[in-house]
Amino acid sequence: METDSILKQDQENKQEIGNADLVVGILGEFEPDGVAAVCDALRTVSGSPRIAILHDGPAPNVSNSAAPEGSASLFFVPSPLATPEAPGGSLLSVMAAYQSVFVASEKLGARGCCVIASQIEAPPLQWVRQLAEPLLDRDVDLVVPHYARHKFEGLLNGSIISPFVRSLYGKRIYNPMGPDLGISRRLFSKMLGAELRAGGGGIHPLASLAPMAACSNLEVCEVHVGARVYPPTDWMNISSLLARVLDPVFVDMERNAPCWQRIRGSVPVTAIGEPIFVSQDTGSVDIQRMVESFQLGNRELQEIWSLVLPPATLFELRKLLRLPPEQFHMDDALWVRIVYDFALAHRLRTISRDHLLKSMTPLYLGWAASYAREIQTAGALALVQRLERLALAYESGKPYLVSRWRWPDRFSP
Amino acid sequence: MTKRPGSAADPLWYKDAIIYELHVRAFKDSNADGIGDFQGLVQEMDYLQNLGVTCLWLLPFFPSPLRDDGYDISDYMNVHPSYGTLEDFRAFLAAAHEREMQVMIELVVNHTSDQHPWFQAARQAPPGSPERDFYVWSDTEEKYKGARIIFSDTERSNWTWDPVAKQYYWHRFFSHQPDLNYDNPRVVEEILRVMRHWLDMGVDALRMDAIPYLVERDGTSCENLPETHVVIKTLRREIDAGFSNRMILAEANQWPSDVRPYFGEGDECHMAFHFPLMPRIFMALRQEDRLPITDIIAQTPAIPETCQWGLFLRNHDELTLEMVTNDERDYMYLAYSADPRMRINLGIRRRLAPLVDNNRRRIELLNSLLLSFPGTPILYYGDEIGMGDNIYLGDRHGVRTPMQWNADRNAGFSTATPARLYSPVIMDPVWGYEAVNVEAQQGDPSSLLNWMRNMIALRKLFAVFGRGSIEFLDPSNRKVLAYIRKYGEEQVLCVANLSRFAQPVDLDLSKLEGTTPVEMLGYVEFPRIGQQPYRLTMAPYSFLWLELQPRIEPVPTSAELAGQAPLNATRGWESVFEGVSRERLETLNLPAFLPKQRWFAGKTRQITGTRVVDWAILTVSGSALAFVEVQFDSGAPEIYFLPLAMTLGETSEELRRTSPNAVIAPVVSEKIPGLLHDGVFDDKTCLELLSIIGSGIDIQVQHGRLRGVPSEVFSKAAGADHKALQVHRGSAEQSNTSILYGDRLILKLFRRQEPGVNPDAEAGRYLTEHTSFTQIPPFAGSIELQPVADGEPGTVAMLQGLVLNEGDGWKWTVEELNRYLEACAPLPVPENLGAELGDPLELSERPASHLARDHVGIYLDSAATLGRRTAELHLALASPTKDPAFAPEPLTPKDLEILVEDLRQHASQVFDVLKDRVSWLPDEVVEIAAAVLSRRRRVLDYFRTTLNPHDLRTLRIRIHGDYHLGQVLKVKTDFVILDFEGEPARSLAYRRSKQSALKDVAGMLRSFSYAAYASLINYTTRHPEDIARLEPWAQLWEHSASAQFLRTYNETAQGAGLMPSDRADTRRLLDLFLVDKALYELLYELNARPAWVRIPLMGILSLPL
Repeated sequence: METDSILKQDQENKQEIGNADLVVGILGEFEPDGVAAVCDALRTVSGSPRIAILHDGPAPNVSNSAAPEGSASLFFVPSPLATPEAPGGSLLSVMAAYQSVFVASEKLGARGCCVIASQIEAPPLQWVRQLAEPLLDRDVDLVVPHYARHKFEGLLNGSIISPFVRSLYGKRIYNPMGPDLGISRRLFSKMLGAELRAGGGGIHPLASLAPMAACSNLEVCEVHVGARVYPPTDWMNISSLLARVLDPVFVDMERNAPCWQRIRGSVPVTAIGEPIFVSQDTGSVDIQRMVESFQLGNRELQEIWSLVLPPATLFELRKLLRLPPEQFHMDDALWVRIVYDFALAHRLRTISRDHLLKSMTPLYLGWAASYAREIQTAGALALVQRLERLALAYESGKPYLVSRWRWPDRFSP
Repeated sequence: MTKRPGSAADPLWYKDAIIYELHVRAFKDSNADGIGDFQGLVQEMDYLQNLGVTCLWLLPFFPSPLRDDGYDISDYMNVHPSYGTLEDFRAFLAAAHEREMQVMIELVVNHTSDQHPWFQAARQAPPGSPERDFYVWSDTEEKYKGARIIFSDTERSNWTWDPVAKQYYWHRFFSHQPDLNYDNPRVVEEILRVMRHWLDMGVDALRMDAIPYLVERDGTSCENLPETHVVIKTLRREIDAGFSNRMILAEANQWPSDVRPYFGEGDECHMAFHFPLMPRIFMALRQEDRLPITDIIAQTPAIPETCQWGLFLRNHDELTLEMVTNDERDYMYLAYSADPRMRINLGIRRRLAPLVDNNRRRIELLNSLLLSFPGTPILYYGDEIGMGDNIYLGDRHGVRTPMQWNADRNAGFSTATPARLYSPVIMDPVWGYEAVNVEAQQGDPSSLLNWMRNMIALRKLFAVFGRGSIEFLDPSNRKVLAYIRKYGEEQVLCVANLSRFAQPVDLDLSKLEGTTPVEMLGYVEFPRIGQQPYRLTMAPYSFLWLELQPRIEPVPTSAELAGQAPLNATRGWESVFEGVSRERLETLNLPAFLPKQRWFAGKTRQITGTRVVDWAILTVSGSALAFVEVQFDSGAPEIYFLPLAMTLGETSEELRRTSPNAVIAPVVSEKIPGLLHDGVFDDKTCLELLSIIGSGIDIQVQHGRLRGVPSEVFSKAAGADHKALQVHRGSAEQSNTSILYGDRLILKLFRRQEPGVNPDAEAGRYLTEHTSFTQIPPFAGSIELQPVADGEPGTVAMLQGLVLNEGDGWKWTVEELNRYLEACAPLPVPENLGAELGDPLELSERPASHLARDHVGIYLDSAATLGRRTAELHLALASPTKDPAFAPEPLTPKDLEILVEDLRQHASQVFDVLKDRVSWLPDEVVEIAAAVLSRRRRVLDYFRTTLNPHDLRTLRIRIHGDYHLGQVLKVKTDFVILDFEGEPARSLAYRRSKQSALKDVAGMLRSFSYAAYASLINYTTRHPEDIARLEPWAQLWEHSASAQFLRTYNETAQGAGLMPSDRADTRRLLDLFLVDKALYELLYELNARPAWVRIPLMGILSLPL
């Protein structure tokens, strides 16, 4: 592992660090000021813990002697950690970055680790501390962020990942894949152990965390964080992203089938801090183009979709094709069935998984267009309600998923 | 010492495993030599993974002369060259582990081949030497006489003479398989070395063959001896010391109680086959009786927590009948082996599908039992596709033929010339590889292979099958087998019909009351279990797996939880009506609050959003007055008037407890928590509303002004100090809200706001200030909303003097009627009653009869008073005035035409609804409804023809509009008339329009009819035998009261133009309104109270159309 070798090379640092209570990996392209702000926030973590910071960049001045009494002790370890959303950054490098943080945490005997990977509109002082403290003070195993939402950002998470994970694993977690996360020793050890057993093929450091925590009855809480700064979404070239994000979620789903098929309903997890609402005045999408993409896909991908979707769904899609663009609307129940059927086809390896997931893109754009039209003028709470309705549709549709999963007979309605 | 881990993470992996037994030789040939091999097996690993099996059990693959299918091993440490090399085995092992499959191999510990170097050395070595002692020798055949001969078909003794050693050697099986001598410690050491060899390589499990026969002692059966257990414990100890997550499976074909010791105290074998269960499953199926199964399970002792039974339907050996009684064996031979060639030793050498005549449902049923019984299921290769056998091959070779992969040459097993195959493939038309093969079944979604794959996947989802307890149910129908598997919170009910015909079954599941069975294959919810027997109907050979799910408590949604979060009120109302707090109020709190209010008119529609369109702060109470627009999923939005108040601190908890529906949202103001709630529940707010009227205060709102307008009688009605009056809230809230001030005033808040003056306030003010009519509550003032733009003012609230009364007219009338019916019940129906049941208008032209006076009595006086007061009201409303809203106008032919068309449309709509609902009506009214429906044409024609548009010479005036007994108050011997709002469902413009006074008259006549029949229904509910006798009495009451009402109405209103001058026109116009009112009632009852629908139906039938 990279970090292992880093620690070996940097004997001086390692000796200085010895053991750490907490390891914090700062991933991504942070300006020095940003790293310093994160360090300032970490200083305020209660209990004066020893915190090792892994970051690929110049070390800010983290002199412990100048810190106020009772502050956390920080140790900076330069590490070539990957950038989660760097353009062209491969998935493997992102996975390796998280994995490195886990390995380093284990080596340093840390009680937990955090990954700071996002630029957040709000200053980090509070949320970074809140991400860390539950691991040390409250025996929490997974601390996930609850980002304030802009209506058209993070939609892949809002429309699929979050409600899907909630429906499957029964935990109302709004950003199950972080990327800013706090992870207990118990959980990262499980992740590392599982990775060993699965030969590294099945465990994904982001997609597997929440399911693993839920299926192991580990304690999960979420921290209300400000709005995350997302890279701009290229709606017309989203298929690779869709495939990249959904694949590990669906892989995990297969592994955890005995767990999620037993879970009914959902419960909220403990929330730390107050919900943060941000203005919804900004942002727009080209609904017309999204609908056109759906219509094009509907005409050209019928052959693939007919392998995946049952006739009733195909019939509904055909009806949508006949609608004039201004009346176009894909309802949540239909969308949820589509997601579930793609998850099933992924499990059954009906066609190449990559092709399968990419072929879902026009359907996703169809739903996103309906959603965009619906919430164009919505405020922050209306947005919460809208996504809550979607999440409930996922929960209502779960019996459909379970029945199709258990008896994947193509002779279905 | 570090233990070498196995490939499984869970030490108890074998409890959840699905084991697949295969012979390398029979599975796949990779090098075209006609014999299956490891490389061929590796090629088909994806197939096995796809099938879902988790552990592969390989039959012996070691070097061997192959005189007993490999169970005669000549080298324990190597691979038979026909199957490949040790490297090939390692590659196979890695491929299995990569797919998260475990591997079990054979450890044939009881005997070796006579070709094994150990035996060759032993026969050459002198007696007593360590080499000779590897086996059991004797100079005679007389030792161990108590041991039975197992292979009775081929062996005559357990001893065979060796001419080289010049001694007999001991063998429990074939004579070429000499038994090892476990009294010799070197043998144990050698076997341990063999074990370590394979376990070091990564093998996960060892099947110990013929384990009961390891040690021999004279005077015993030489089976299951204590010394054998000592050996097994030694082997286990060595495994546990050096390895983790490994498993030993004991092959001990014994009764369960004899097998039990092979588990030890969890320190011998991890698993053991349950041999006696297998034949009994087949017996139960053939006998269509669950008893053989439940009997053998009952005889099965408990085993240590870490141990497990191995279950199978078929395997590489014969269907062994050693563990059955002689009678049972005879039955099984007759049932399952018609051809003697099917039998071998003490068993039947057949595969699963041929045993059950290739019946798919039987195959599925047996597999469902295998997969749901307590233990680890073991599948035999080929049975997942329903492969057949070849009884013409010797020994048990008939069930060991090549795997049938496809319809190509040699079944796709090998590309060798057919003659080179180790065994011929099956080729007959039913079982042959062209009909039964993997490829065909993979392409057939309904194939047995796909069914097996789904079932295996399903079983793997539930740990209860591998780890749970079993409890059999005892339904009276023995053809049905039912049992409950339980593991922790998981509970599964399994039901199987062993019969070839459909079977009913009642299960006693009362101890599971409240749980919901969910069929596991399709996730279909069944009815919840109660105290009653749970009845199921089972199709032939069907089975059900039902997951028993406990009831779950609903958890609030995120939106609901967000709604429970407090609104920020730090800066008072400004904080509430701004930003996120306002959005939360509009998005979450108000949509949740409004449907809970009785005054909210939009209950049948889905709220899609709300918006506070205007608001103002009340300076004294600190409350607010808000106007909220409600949007719906269909139809126009509505605006509601909502006084708001905030209560902070402990008082708010009292409010939450006593009036939870009044709470809109929690608030927090400067860290003090409290509640935002309906202002009506705050006395200070209520008193300030009164002050606004009394003082004529103007309040600026965003879109206009709220203005208090006292009437001339406010001071008199309110008394000297209206601010000191005690506030109460009305209890019988309907579409409005009432606030009572002491015993002097009542303030009516008009919740739903429409543009225009409210007709109740308008009429109240007019009658109070401009007429001498006194039989209404005195109008004391109102709060009006004057829009900024040119719009009509609206009425927000109306204040009236409170009238002391004895209840409303309806309540009083019904009480009178109860007494009347009670008195009439014992009386015979008078002979001359028919004359009393004529048209009330005609009856009104003559004095009330003696019969009516004698029986209806005092109520006639009340009806007379009511008729007079109604006429006086109409006279007041018809008096000349310059106010255009009240000035009377003639009813023109055009007005009449519009009226008739309106009534026809209404009638047509009601008939349509009645037609739709008639089949839902109670039986006793269906005929009446049909009679009414048959009058549809007549009624519609009646509307068109009865009143040709001509000059009726009558007036159109403002009327009450929704007149009935519930709208009058009984005040001593008189009545006060209330509520001039009109029919709530109608538009404000309609309610303020001028109409014929006869509409009110018809309303009251229908109300008499309603009171009579409602009382009759109520009375005869308790005394159903009286209904036929009492109905004429009820009709007498109705007709008498109606006639008396009309009598005084006519007398009082005579000559004022309230009725057409022509008597016939009066009658026709009145009938028109009566039909319309009855149809209005019919529609209401169809929607709300089908049990009462008889009343308006009878009303329609009674009209002379």
